[in-house]
Amino acid sequence: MTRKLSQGNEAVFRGALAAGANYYAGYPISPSTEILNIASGHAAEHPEFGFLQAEDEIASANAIIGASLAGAKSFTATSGPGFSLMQEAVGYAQKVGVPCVFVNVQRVGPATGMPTMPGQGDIMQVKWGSTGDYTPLAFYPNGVEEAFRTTVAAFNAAEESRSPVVLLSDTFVAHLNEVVDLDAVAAETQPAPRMAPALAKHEGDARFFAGVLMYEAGPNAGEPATADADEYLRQFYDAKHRHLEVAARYALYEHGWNVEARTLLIAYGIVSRVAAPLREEVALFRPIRIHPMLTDELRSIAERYDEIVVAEANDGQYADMVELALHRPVKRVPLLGGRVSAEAVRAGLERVLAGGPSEPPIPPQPTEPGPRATLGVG
Amino acid sequence: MTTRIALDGVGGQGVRVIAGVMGALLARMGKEVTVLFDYDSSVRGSMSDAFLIFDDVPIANPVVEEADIMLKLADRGHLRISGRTVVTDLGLNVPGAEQIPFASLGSQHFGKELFGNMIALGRLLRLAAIDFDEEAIRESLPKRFVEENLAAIRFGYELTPETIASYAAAAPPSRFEMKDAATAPGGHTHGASVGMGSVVEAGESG
Repeated sequence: MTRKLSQGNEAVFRGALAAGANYYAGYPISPSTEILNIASGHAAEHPEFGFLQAEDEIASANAIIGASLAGAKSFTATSGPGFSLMQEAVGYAQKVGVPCVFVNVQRVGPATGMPTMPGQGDIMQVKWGSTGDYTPLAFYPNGVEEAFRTTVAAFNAAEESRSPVVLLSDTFVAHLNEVVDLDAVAAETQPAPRMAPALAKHEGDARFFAGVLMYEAGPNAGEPATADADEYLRQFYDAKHRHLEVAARYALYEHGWNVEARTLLIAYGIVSRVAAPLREEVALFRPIRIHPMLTDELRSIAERYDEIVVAEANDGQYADMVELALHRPVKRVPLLGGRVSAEAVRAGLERVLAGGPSEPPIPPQPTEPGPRATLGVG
Repeated sequence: MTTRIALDGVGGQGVRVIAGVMGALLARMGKEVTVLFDYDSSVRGSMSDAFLIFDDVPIANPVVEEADIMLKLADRGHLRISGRTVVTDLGLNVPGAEQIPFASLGSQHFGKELFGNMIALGRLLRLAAIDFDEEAIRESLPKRFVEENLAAIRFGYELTPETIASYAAAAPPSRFEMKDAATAPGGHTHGASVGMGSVVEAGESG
């Protein structure tokens, strides 16, 4: 066991293995591709590990569902555009109760957008991306070792909730290298056993996998329930309560920095790391379980602070959730276009605390060709 | 003490290799290290930066916004951060910077311009006051061209202000930029945006 420089995406793959994953399907997309590369290398050396580079993200998502229904612990990794393509499969897996893990390494969208720049624009896509109502579980680490641990949590929660769980990441968490001892972390990992039996071994206890509402028990078992609101309610709330019960076991968050400050900064993923130079000035609340919302935890912490500011690499997606949960106004610092820097957080914080707008000053169009702007304050 | 290093270049020069080898070396020496790569989605010719931080305690913010040492192998002007000590390739017009003809030194002493990136790594190790631990460096290097790379790192490590001045005066005013990068308009080529694993190996001509 040695401490060595390891990458966020590598930690996700190794966490998946430690959690018992034995099937990966995917389609390459920055900034998630290392996970596919490592999975393919692993499969070449371990024939018992199933690997498919599919023709696209739709096939990848359906392949991991098929593998899960056949008894595997399966996962895929993609980025926002790929995750959009996977939404039909996500809804299906929610409806049918398929334990599996979707890793979404976020970049700047919409569409192809800025493929290698850090973004956090899929918070709402994870919550509402597919059709209908469901109660998704999602985790979001902010470093390499935590990427390993939350991947294990995602697989375990998937088994326990019998649902597709999302592991969120971003360009910088994915491509961050830190000195960690992943062997030591792996040694203390406790993978959940496979809880949903494979279809082929499911004699005498019918399992329905058409995605259409069926009576799964009772006198009408096996018949369509496509016009029965009572059966819908039974199944919907059974799944919702199960997901919430499992989520309660994974109420992962961090509350720290200057907890006596008057401002609570809410940030997650890489933004919580780059905002660290503000550690003397603000308190930090960092949700690791992004969905379902950590409402009770956040309420009891937030009441100690005069100001609540959410800094995130999107236009206020988590801030909306915070406002709904707290029933009080929150200020927003959107970090858009990949500009995820302490300078940008500081400038935004000062602006909104002084009563200014959340929108940053927009630079004028240059008159001559010149360098492209990336990090820094702009 | 925290040491923050920023590397600024374009795809193909070996920015990733320099930062990766240095990070692995520092990890081997027991330091806390973060290495973060920041790059555009074209493989060659567009921005490729790396942020390397090392310390004796864990590092919170892995993004370098004020560098103690900044190495510029190219300057597209996009990396809007300042550096206390700045080292550039010869010909880059950065006021106050130490200019080292990495490309011609690589070519003259090791047969290929690309060895300039290992010379730059050696200079970085010296400026960051890291002991030259040959065995640790050897183990941190990619598995090809180990001896050549090690020699180039040592060459860079042993440079002094005096030798740098004399090499700079004698060198042709060429830049250590990949030819396709230098000739493409805006330094922009459309490569695949995938396959981060396939970094150009140190000392391997791109």
